[in-house]
Formats: sequence, C-alpha cells, structure tokens
Amino acid sequence: MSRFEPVIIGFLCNWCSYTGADLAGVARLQYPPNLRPIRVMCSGMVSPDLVMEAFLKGADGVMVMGCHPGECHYLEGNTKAAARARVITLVLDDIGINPDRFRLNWISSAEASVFAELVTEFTIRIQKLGPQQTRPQNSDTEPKHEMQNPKSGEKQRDLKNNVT
Amino acid sequence: MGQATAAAAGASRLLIKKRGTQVKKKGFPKERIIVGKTPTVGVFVCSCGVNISGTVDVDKVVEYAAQLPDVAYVENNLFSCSVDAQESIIQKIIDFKLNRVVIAACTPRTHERMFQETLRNARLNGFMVEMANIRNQNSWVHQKDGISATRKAKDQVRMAVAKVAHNYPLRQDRIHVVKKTLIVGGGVVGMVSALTLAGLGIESILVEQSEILGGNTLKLETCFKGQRVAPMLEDLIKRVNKDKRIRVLTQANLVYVAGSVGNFQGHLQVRSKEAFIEFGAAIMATGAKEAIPSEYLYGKLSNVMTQLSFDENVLYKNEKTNTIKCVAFIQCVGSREPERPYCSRICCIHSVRAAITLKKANSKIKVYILYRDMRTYGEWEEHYKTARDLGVVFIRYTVDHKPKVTEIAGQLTVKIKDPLLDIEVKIKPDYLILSSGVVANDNKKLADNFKFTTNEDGFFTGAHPKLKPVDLSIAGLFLAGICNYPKPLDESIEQAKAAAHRVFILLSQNEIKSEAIKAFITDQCDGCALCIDVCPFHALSIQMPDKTKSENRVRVLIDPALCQGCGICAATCHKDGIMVHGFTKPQLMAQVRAAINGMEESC
Ligand SMILES: Cc1cc2nc3c(=O)[nH]c(=O)nc-3n(C[C@H](O)[C@H](O)[C@H](O)COP(=O)(O)OP(=O)(O)OC[C@H]3O[C@@H](n4cnc5c(N)ncnc54)[C@H](O)[C@@H]3O)c2cc1C
Ligand code: FES
Repeated sequence: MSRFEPVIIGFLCNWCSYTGADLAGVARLQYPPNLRPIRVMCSGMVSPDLVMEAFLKGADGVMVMGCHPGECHYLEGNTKAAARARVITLVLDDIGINPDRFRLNWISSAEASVFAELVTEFTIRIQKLGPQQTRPQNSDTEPKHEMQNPKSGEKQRDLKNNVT
Repeated sequence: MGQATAAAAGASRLLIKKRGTQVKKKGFPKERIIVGKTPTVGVFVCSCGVNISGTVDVDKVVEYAAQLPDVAYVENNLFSCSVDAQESIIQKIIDFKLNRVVIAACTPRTHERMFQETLRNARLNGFMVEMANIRNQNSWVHQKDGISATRKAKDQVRMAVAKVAHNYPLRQDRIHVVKKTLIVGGGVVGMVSALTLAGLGIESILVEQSEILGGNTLKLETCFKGQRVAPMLEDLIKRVNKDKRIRVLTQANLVYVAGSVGNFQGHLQVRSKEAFIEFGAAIMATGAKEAIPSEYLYGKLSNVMTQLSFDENVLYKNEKTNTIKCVAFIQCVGSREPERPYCSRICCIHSVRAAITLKKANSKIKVYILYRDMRTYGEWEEHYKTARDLGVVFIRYTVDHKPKVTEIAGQLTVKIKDPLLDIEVKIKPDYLILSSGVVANDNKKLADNFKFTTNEDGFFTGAHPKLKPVDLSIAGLFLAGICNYPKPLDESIEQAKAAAHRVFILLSQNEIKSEAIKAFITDQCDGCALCIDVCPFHALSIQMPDKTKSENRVRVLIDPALCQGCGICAATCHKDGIMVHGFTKPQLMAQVRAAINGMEESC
C-alpha cells in the first residue's frame, strides 16, 4: 500500500448521525473510505473505554457523532458525551496520543452533507498526522489495559449463556 | 410530516368501517434453544441489484467472510430482502444449523426488523442478527473507489460477525393496551384531538384545568384566514360535550402518573374530588400564553395594551373605533432578545390583521406598525400587502435603537428614528399595542410527572423535529398545539389531528411489545449508584440489602417501563455493572477490535 490509509472508528448515534450517514448514501455524497462505522443508540452510550480501546489497539482516529445539543433522543446523552470528550482529550494528551485524533461532532439526521464534509475533513487531518503509534513506549497503560481483558472475556461468556 | 399524518387521520376516518377486515395474523414457530451452543454464523451478502455489487466486489467479500472465525455458511443474494432470498435464508439457517446471522446489505434502520422476522421464521430469536451497512455507508458513498469499498465491506462484515458472536436471545414482554387516551388541556387542540379520536372509535378523557374549554381561542375574534372564531369554537365545545366517547373534566389537574406506553395510570384532582384513570396514550395540549410586557409604560397606562386585550376591549367595538385618531403597534416586545430569543410567529400577522381591521372600520385612523423584521410568512404576506395598500405605515427599528415611549398629561408619545428618512418620527397614539409574543405555560410539574423535559423556553419538543414532530421522547406520549411552539390556529389544528392519528395507530393494537433494547444489571454491579443520577428517565433506583436474606450488597434496580435503552448509565459505569442489551460492552468492544485487527489481512 503506498498511500497511508488510516483506520478511523466512528461511533454514530442511531437517531441523528447514523441516519445522517445513511442519507449521505441516499444522496450519493462521496467521502473517503476510511471510516468504520459502529452504530450505538446514543452518543451518551459511548464509554471512554471504547474510545481508549480503539486507540490502544491502533486506530488512527476516533469520531463520536451525536445529535445536536437539545436534540438528543434521550434528552441529555450528548451533553454527557461532550463532558466525556473533554476527559478523553486530557487522557489522550497524557498518554502521548495527539488529541486531534479524537473528535466529537453533532450531526442531525438531515445533515448528510455535513456528515460527508466532517468525515472528509477528519480523514485528511489524520492522514496528515500519519499513523498512530499503537503501543505507547515506556507506558504502563498497555499492560494495565491488557489485564482487563480476561475479565471482560469472562463476562462475554456469561452473557452468551444468559437466557433472558 | 405533521401535515401528512393529519391527512392520514382524515383518510382513516373515511375507512373506519372497513378497518381491520383484511388483517391476517402472523404467527411464528417455536424458538430453537441455542444457549450454550458455540456460534455458527451465516453471512448473507446482498448485491442490491447493482447498488452494492456495482462498486463492491461482492465475490471477494463472500470469499473473505467464509474464512472468518465462527462463520459456517456464506452466500450472495441479488436482493437479500426479496421473498426468494428470505426463503433461502430460512432454509440455510435450518440446513446449516446456524444460530447467528449477518446480513451485509443496506441500513438496519429500514431493514433490521424485517430480517429479525426472517430469523423468527427460522426458529431463531430475532436478536441473533446483525447488519453490516455496506450500501448506504459504503457502496453509495465510495462509488469511485471499488478497491477501498471492497476492503471496507470486508471490515464491516468482520465487525458484524465479531459482534453477533456475542449476541444472545432477547425477550420482548407483551403489554396489554388500554384503549383510552388522556388529553391534557381543553383548548382547541385538546378538543380537536378528542373529536378526531372519537371519529376513529377511540375514547378519551379531556382534562382542562380552568372552568371552561377553549383556551386562548376564546380571546380570538377571527383566524388568519378571516373566518370568525366564535361559531367554530361553540360548535367544537358542543360536539365535545355531546360525544359519548369523550369524558370532559374541567377544573381538573393531573397529580400523579405511573406506568408506560399502552398502560398508564393517573390520579386526577377534579375540584375537591380525586379520580383514578387508566390510559394507553396521552396527548399534551396545554397551550401557552400571551407574554406580559415589562417595557413601554405597560401596566402604568391603561391605553398601553397587549394584542389580545386590545382586540377584546377596543378593536371590535364600533363606538371606540369611530373616535380613535391614531394607533401604534410595537412588534417584538421582549422577543428575539437574549432572555427570550425565539420568534412567536403569530404576532406580526396578528398586528397586521388588526391594522387592516382598524383601517376598514375607520379609514381616517392613522396606523403605525413599528417592527424589527416583518414576518408575515407564506400566504400571510398578502395581509402585509393589503395593509400597505390601506395606508398603514411601517417603520423599522433595531434592537439597539428601540422606540422611546413617554407620557405627558395622559398623552402618549412614541419617538422612533425612521431609518429610511433618517429623521426622528413622533407619533401620538390613542392606543399603543405591544406585541409581546407567546410564552410557555408553567408545566414543569406535568413534564416531571411524565418524565419528559421541556426546552429552555419551557415548550415541549417532539422526539424528532422532522420524523416524529408530534411524538414526545417517551413512548406513548404525544404533543400538539402551542405547548410545542407558537403557531396559528390552523397549524395547531393540523397538529391536533396528527397527534390523534399517532395515538390511533398505537391504540388500534390489542397488545404491544415492549422494547428489548434496555439496560440490565450484571454481576459486576457493586451498588455504587453512580448510574442513578445520570439516567434522564429516572429509571434507576437503589435497593438496600435485605438483611433477612443475609444480603449485604446494595443493588441498583431498573424500572423496565421507564428505561429507554440510551446507555448513558452503561458508559458511566466503569465496572461494567450495567449494560444495554444489544449494545453490551463485549459487543461494542468486539466491533472496535475487529475494526482494527485484520485490517491488513483484508487489504
Ligand atoms: C397573543 C396570541 C395571539 C394569537 N393570535 C392568533 C391569531 O390571530 N390567529 C390565529 O390563528 N392564532 C392566533 N394565536 C394562536 C392560537 O391561539 C393557538 O394556535 C391556539 O389557541 C392553540 O390552541 P391550544 O389548544 O394549543 O392552546 P391553548 O389555547 O393555550 O389551550 C390550552 C388549554 O390547556 C389548559 N391547560 C394548560 N395547562 C394545563 C394542565 N396542566 N392541565 C390541564 N389543563 C391545562 C389551558 O387552561 C387551556 O385551556 C394567538 C395566540 C396568542 C397567545
Ligand atoms: S440519541 Fe443522538 S446523541 Fe443521544
């Protein structure tokens, strides 16, 4: 591969941004193919753990997208997401990942073109920043984070066996 | 959307006799038990005609999917949503003993429900399917780069396979629907909603807090189209009172509400008595009110009036209009300023119409309208033209240079700088009318009771401004009229019909299924209660340990009727003590990891 093709994870809330992204398709708006969309019910559902996991596993950029302030389907999920975004930015800075690799955006279900523009802009930004160093050197973040995995593995099994 | 729904209400009314005569009930075979079985995933890659296959190399995606872990079967369909393909999917689920399915096609927002039914027809729980959106969010948006699009499609399939491996069966409870509506507010909107519902065979309880029905419309002389309002209102009130399907309660207040969509319970205070009611849905039609001005000598002089009191006391009284010489209106009083930033939409038209009425009653009256921006939108522009033709003088002002109002010996003087002539104009009106706009009623208690919120200005807002304009964010609750935002009568009535139709659709069912996407508590919960405060729906509470059972753990309890499945709680809990079905940490983590891992292999 000659061109740097960044891996960008996008968390899209079901009610506005995911719908806006679908509409971008209907309108055949073209944007770079680097975003890997993950549908969530609300931007307020995106735990900082998920964002951190993405970076620690090597994502080059992460976008969280929700409804405009005041338009969250669950009233205030997006304000919670905004508060978490500030924390995420601080933590990224702390562990040596450029906070510019993370972004929180508001996109309404009608704003297909805004969605396409933001994804384009963000992809270009990440391309300029270059690949993200997956494992921050001399940092104890990675081992700590690895320790959590067996635990969540257990939970996954629990859940699978969980008849509800 | 609102207009379309209102039209649907009209059409439904005409079809009411035939309604339900062609319905065939759908049944599903008994679910296979899959608990404890290792995931066997079937992947169905849709070409969507050429919508997907024109850009994405579908064969390569199929080939790639076949070697993913847990995948037992892969096929390509021309249209996965076609009847043939559905049958094929069902057959493959049976033949290959698939217990999970990935459909790589269009968007789950339109097709997930359909594929859930396909699975149910194949004796699988509907929640064992995940969709990879390789059309709307891939082939359609990367039309010029087939190679990248194919790579992305592989990634999306891998992510969906990784997620679905963590899916588990979910149940939806059946809720018996109480076929009765509560309508809060007996203005025109409440009454039209009740009558529309009655026409569709649905009973309602119309609760009005004042002594009489009618609301603001009681104070209106004509609607914007010019028809007189009183006969229409009298007719409405008569019909509402006569209809056996409408129970009218005046001087009534809702004090308490419990339950959820399909099955709410409430306590009413009706005068000195209490009443218990049950209802399946509710419409908020609580209206709003004219703002009380705090400027321009209002309250100090009796000839400085609001629009409605001028209408009532002067405008339609010939003995007064015969003697008046000069009238001035000031628009946007208290509106479109930092404390009240919105436009009330009706005041410009209302004043322009009042000016026309004055001129027609007595053409000698000098009429001035002092405005910031004239907003006689849409067809109402005609009124503005008419007013100009009749000689009404419009003078513009800006918020930094508001008109100055003084009074000497009972004579009002309004000074304003005319920006066109660039001179100060002095007006000596007999009456000064302040267009103060519309402010929300204080209905915080009502909103709290039902657990929805108001916007910053105190108005109720729809769940989605375009797609669900008359639904509140809580299932089973709807809104209409000026409790939503200020609007003229005709628009209010339209919304009333739309809300009634939304209720009709809901209450036409005998049973509804509760949502499955809801929060649940895991073994990791240690009762720290961090999640309780962040829940916007007050669905979480704390349960103290039951000492008699020698418990020592505080537990968080979820009220499934209130939980909407937003997952704010889940993202707040860093112990994974609470999660949302369908979007659990393991499911989302699996997607994140799959999005990154194997990126190289799939190139
Ligand atoms: C100043 C002003 C001028 C207007 N001019 C025009 C005009 O010229 N032409 C035009 O077409 N439209 C005009 N309108 C708009 C028109 O009045 C509205 O569109 C219409 O009245 C909306 O009716 P509604 O039923 O939504 O609200 P309302 O008429 O406000 O009725 C709401 C009812 O709910 C009751 N209520 C409130 N809270 C509760 C509660 N908690 N429990 C029980 N009952 C409750 C109230 O007592 C009231 O009876 C004007 C409005 C205002 C305020
Ligand atoms: S639903 Fe979109 S941000 Fe909450």
